[in-house]
Amino acid sequence: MKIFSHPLDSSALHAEFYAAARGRNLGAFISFAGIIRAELNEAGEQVEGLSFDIEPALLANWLAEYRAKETSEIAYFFAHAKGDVMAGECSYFAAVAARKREAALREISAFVEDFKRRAPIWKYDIVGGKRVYAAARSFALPHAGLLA
Amino acid sequence: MVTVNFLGPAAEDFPEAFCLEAHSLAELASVLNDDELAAKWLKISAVAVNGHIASNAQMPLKTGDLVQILPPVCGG
Repeated sequence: MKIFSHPLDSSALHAEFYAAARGRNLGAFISFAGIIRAELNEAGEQVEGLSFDIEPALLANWLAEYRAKETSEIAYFFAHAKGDVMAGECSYFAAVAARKREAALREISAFVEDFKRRAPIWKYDIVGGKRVYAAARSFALPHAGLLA
Repeated sequence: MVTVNFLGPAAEDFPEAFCLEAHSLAELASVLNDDELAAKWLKISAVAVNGHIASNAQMPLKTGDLVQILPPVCGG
């Protein structure tokens, strides 16, 4: 797990993770990069970038579920930025390597989607230089409302 | 005493972790829901105890436990 306090260097991460996949004799390597879009948010405001809060200990627990699934036939790779990441920059880089393509194609989708919905990361739009919680695009965690 | 920490956007309302006397999550909920701002976040938030998401509101707590309030998430 890699957490950076600046936008990600997706080329360097690709090279690093690809080399690790090669080192494990895994034949299929599929990566995913999240690039910040310049667009309007739900309120019609221009989004200049995104900002992220991360809880590292909880994130490590989330990733541990994937580490536990790793075998000689599959491996997961993960990096994310915290703080501000501006439009055009990379905030998230993940990859899956598997012995064969079927498992890699299946797992990259599950890994990226599960991350989006369950990893302890909070997203904010940067609008006019200020952080605005992206509530409408966020996902309630399992058992949300337990203490309500 | 347990430590309570509101994370992500909830930290804007509760920037510092604080300690409370509570022997279960239900007891903690009863105290926290007296605060309007806390109640607002609790409605939509999950709860982690010592790093693991809780699923039982009656879960007992012991001195030194860390309770984290987790609003809806979105990475990527």
